Amino acid sequence: MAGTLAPERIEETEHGARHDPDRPWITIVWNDPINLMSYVVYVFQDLFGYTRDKATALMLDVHYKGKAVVSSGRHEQMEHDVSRLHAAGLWATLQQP
Amino acid sequence: MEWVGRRKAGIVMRFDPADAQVLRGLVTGVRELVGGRPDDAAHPADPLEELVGTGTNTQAPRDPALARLLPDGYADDEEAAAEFRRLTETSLRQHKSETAQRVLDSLPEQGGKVCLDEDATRAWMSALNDIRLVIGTRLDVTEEMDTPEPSDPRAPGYELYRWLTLLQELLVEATVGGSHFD
Repeated sequence: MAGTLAPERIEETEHGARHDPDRPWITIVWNDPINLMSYVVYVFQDLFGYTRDKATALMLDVHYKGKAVVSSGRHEQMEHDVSRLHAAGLWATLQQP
Repeated sequence: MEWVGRRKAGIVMRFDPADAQVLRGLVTGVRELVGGRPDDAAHPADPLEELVGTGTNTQAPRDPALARLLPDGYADDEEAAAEFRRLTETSLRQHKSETAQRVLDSLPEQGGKVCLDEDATRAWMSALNDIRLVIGTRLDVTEEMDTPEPSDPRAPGYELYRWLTLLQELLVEATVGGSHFD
């Protein structure tokens, strides 16, 4: 084994291979019984710069409809948004609709 | 009872010694929870992980409370969720651990006054939320949950959970009550 430095074949994991690269991705925040409504509004304002009204409307969608699309755009940007929401403690996922 | 108020320089809180000790214990618990290795013996510690912020773990934690702190990034695609976890879980654990440490650094063991600028306030809210996620998941709280009877084994945990909820609510209120968020 030692001395054999042949590069491994890297498996293709690029999401673009399975998804249409031209269609936007979305970030979804899901309802959960623990996060406070006021905190969720604060996080939407803090992370996305939304107005209090827009952040509140999104929070109410999460609460009453079970989920809300909070941002959309390129795949990398949505992964970044999901990471930031996870850091804040919200339950978020991304997908390509 | 803790006191939360808003001053020009930021948020000011006051804790009595007992409350400070309880809160420090809870924050330390979360820091230890996220600081542990992924609970999968097939993935031994890699000293480079923490340097580069990505790891080798692709499995969601088996502990539901830890899984709630480190959720999947994809709901409908297991392969993508595993890859997302491999790339982000280590840095998310680090972030939560640093956030917890930040609270410990600003909360004196004997209690007293705590002054927070905007960044520190964000860290506190996030850390309080992490504790509530852990306790709430362990207690299996629901939105319609009634206060458990005093004889219920969940009663002490629920009382703690309510206290943290109130504290976080006061902190959010003091923060967004200022005009600079509008």
